[in-house]
Amino acid sequence: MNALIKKYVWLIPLLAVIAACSPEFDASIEEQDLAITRVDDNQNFSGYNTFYLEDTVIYIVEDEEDLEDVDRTHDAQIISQVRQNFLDMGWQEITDPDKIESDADVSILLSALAVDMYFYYTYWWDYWDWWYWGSWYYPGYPWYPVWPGYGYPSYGYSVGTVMIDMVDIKNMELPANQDENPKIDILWTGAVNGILVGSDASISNRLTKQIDQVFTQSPYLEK
Amino acid sequence: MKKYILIVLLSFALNSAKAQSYTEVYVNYLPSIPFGKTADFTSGISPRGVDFEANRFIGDDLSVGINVAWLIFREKVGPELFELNDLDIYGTQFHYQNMVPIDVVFKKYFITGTYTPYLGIGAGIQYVQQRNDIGVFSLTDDKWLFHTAPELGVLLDLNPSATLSLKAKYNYSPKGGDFPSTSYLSFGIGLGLN
Repeated sequence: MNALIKKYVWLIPLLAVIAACSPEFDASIEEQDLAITRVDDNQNFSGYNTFYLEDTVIYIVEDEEDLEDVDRTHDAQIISQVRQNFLDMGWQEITDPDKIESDADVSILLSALAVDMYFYYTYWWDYWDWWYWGSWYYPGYPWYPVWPGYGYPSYGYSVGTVMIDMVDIKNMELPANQDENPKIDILWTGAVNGILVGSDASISNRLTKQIDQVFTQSPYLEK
Repeated sequence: MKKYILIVLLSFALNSAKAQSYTEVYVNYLPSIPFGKTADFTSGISPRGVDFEANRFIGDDLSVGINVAWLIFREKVGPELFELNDLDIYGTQFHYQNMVPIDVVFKKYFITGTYTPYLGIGAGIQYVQQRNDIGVFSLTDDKWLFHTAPELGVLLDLNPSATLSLKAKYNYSPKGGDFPSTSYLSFGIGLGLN
């Protein structure tokens, strides 16, 4: 027994060093997808039944020229997926843009942000701080955050976020001065966030799954 | 404050050992089981741990030494729905805890022959880092905490200059401010040279 121990005892420090290595999980691309929702705890949706869905996805870009390079491959899917989820939850769609103010209780705005990740991990609250404005102004909409410029070394991929904002048309405060924008509250926000890697089909599948999840975790929207 | 306590303990240990020349150095593989708040954040046995220890004998059956360890606990959680402030998030969380205890260790040996059981107590400080990776984001918090670690073990002489070490060591750090306490039981198997 002692001879056996003596023969293999050198393995112990080796085992210790090997075991202490590779502490990180190998997270798959799908495992880094997120579905996020934000709603005020006291928000009651019982008085809201009709929605108007903007038929364009607004892309948040740093410079206007960047809009020409935007990839709109998944726009139609995003719009139809969001529409179907609202219809499935019992909402009624207002399709006539002239009747938004008179007939729609809420307007659904879709926006997207694709950011090259110069920094692997950034700090959560710096990224999401802009969600904490409470009220904002329509249509002065595309006023979005500057990506925080610090964190960990580059991994050189792009991260996409699709945002679904439900704005309160029913209780919109119209300004006395027509030059000013009306003040509108965001009643609910959903977002999907993930790394833009893989085929179009793969990204499409992930988008479907995550957009559905945003509604699944918002049962209070059910009519 | 915590660092001053470690310095005082180190000074005492070095003064105690000054007159002696007999030193043992150990490397131990250190798998661990988390408890309490540590298990709340990362449950399950961790196979990732190692410590280095140097002991000087201050008597036939007493030693004082320094122990530095590094342990990593980790757990994949979900995908599931969880709350973060006022956000509801569905996704997978990757929890990591790095523990680096630095202790002064006193040991009392019960010399019986080839096998030498012992009791020990370590006291010092522990660096703890907790990290939660969510999607492409990361939440990190860290703290230096007081640390104490009673242990029991047995030494087996392999030859005049090498010793096999087996030990069980309970590690505890009380909470520091909002940072939670840590608690885990380590099992060590190692090789000592003198």
